[in-house]
Amino acid sequence: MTDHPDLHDRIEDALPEALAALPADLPPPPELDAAVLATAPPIRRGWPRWTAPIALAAGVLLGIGLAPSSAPTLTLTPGAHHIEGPATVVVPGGTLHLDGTAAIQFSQATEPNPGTVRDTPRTPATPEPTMFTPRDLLAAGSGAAVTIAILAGTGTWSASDASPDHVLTTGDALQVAPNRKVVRTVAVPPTTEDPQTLPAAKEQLAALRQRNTELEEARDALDFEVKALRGQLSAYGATATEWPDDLPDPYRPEPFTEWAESVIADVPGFAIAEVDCSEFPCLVLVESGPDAPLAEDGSIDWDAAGRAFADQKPPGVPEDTESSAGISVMETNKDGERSGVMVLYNAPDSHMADGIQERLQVRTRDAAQRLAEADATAQ
Amino acid sequence: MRGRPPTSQFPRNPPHHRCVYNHTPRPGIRVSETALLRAVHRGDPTARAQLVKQLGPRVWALCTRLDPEPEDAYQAAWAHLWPRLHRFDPTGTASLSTWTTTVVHRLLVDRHRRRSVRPFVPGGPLDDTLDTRTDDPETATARALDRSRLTAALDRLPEPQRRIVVLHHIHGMPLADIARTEGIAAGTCKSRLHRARARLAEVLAAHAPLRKAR
Repeated sequence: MTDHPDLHDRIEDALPEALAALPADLPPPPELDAAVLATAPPIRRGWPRWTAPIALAAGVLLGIGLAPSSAPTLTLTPGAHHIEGPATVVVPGGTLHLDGTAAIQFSQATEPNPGTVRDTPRTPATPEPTMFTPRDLLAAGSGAAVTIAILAGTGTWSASDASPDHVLTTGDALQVAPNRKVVRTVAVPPTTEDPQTLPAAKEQLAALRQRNTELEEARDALDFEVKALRGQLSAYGATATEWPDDLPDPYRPEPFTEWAESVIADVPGFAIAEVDCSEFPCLVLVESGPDAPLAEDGSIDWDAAGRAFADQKPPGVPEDTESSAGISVMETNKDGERSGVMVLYNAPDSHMADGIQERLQVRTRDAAQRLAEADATAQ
Repeated sequence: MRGRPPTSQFPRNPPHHRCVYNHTPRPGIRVSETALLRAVHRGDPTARAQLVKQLGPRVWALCTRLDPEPEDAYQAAWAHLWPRLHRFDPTGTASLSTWTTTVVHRLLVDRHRRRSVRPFVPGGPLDDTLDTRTDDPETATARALDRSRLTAALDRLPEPQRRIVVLHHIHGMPLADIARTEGIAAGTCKSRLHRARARLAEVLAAHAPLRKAR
C-alpha cells in the first residue's frame, strides 16, 4: 500500500474522467464478424400486404408444378363449359386435346345459327355492333351439337369418324354438327392474347405497377417523416413528462408547492406568481416586486431567492438524496423600471431522465411568455 | 453519507432578457441508421454487413469487458439482436447504438445469472513491468489511471459492479436505465456504483506506481 493517505481519494475523484476516456467501442476480431454474418437468421418484419397475392400466385404455380404431367380426361355433359387445359375433352363426335383454354358449348340442338357465327377473323381495331365474343360464339353454338372455341393456347380436334384432325389455335372455333362432321371453323377475337392489344395492356400494367411502387415509396417516406417529426417533437421537449411512480412524496405537487411558497415567502422582494405542477417536475415562477434587492450593476439581485430555493431540499427528503435544481431568469428594464421573472425547479437527480431538460426549457419559455402576456393584458 | 448540494445554474448577475438555460438540443432522428435498418429488413446482405460493422465494436466492447467468454457472448449477442431489430423504434429518443447497448446488457445479465460457476479473478499486481515509480502523488494518480491498469482493475470488480461502472461511465447510460435492466432499485444501482468506484480506487491505489515515503 502507498503511504500517501490522499492518493485513494485522488484516484477516486479522477476515476469518472479516466473511465469516460476508455473507448466505448473496441474492434471485434474479423473472424467473429464473419461468423456472425454467416449464421445470421432471416429477418422478418411481419407480412407485407403484397405477400398475400404473391403467396396465392406461388400456390397456383406450385399447383401447376405439382400437377400430373398427363392431362386429365374430361367427359362433358350438355351445357356451357370453360375448360382450362391441358386436358383431354371428350364430347360426342370426337376428342379435343387441349393445351390452353377453351370455351365449349355442348347442346342437343341440331342446327347452327349462321347469323351469329362468322368465318372471318375479327379485327379488334374495327369493332362492329355485332362484335363477336366467345359468349356470342357459345350462343351461336346453340344450333350445333358441340362448339369449341380456343380462347388461348392450342387444341387438336380428333373426330371419332377417322376424319383428319383439326389443329386449332387461339381464336379458332369449331362446330361439330350432329352428324359429327365439322361444319365450320371460325376465328374468334382473342380475349387475352391479342397480338396488338396484349403489349399495350402489358405496358399499361407495368406502368401501373411502377406507379404503385412509387406511391408506396412516397407513402413510406411520408410515414417515416411523420415518425421523425414526432420523434423530434418529443426530443425537443414537446411531450409532457409523466410523474414517476417512485418519486418521493415531498416532490409531489401539494407538498412541493407548500414548501416552495414557504421558501420564497422568506425572501423579501419576491413572490410566487405560479407553481406549475401540470407535469413533473413542478415549475415555480417567481416575480420580482418593487422592493426586490438590486445588484451592483443595477439589475435585480435574484441570487437570494434563487439560492434559497436551489440550495435546499423539501422537508422529508433524505439527506443523501442528490437533487438537481435549475433556474432561469428573464428580466426587463423599461424606462429604468426593472422587473422580471425567475423560473425554478428542484427535483431528485435520479429522476431527471433524458429529455427532461429539453422539456423544462420549453416549459420555462412558455411560462415566461404566459406571465409576460398576463402582465401586458393587465396594463 | 452526506449528499452533494443541488447543482444550480444560477447566474450571479443576470443580464437583461437572458435565458440562463444553455442546453444543446438533442440531435434529431438518425436517418442513416433507419435507412440501414430498412435495408437490413429487406434482407440486403450488404446492409447486414454494414450493421455488424457499425454496431460490432460496441457489442464487442461490452462482451469483452463484461463477460468471461467474450467470443461466445459476442455471437450470442448477435443471435439475440437479429430477431429483435424490428423492435427498435427510430422515432424514440434512444439511438440504435444505445438501444443495442441495452439489449446486449440484458443478455449479459441473463448469461451472468445462468452461469452456475462464476470465474474467479485472481488479484495479482496490475502492472509492475515498468519502472514508473514517482514521489509525486499527482503523477502517481495519473499513472495509476493508465488505460491498461484501469482496464485490469475493472476486471477485478464483481460482474454486477463492473456492468454498472462500464455502462455508466464508459457508455454513458443513465443509472435509472441500468437499474431497470439489472432489475434492481435505482438506489441499489447507485450504491453499487459507489462501492465499485471505491473498490477500483482501492485496487489502483494499492498498486499505484508511487515510491513509499521513507
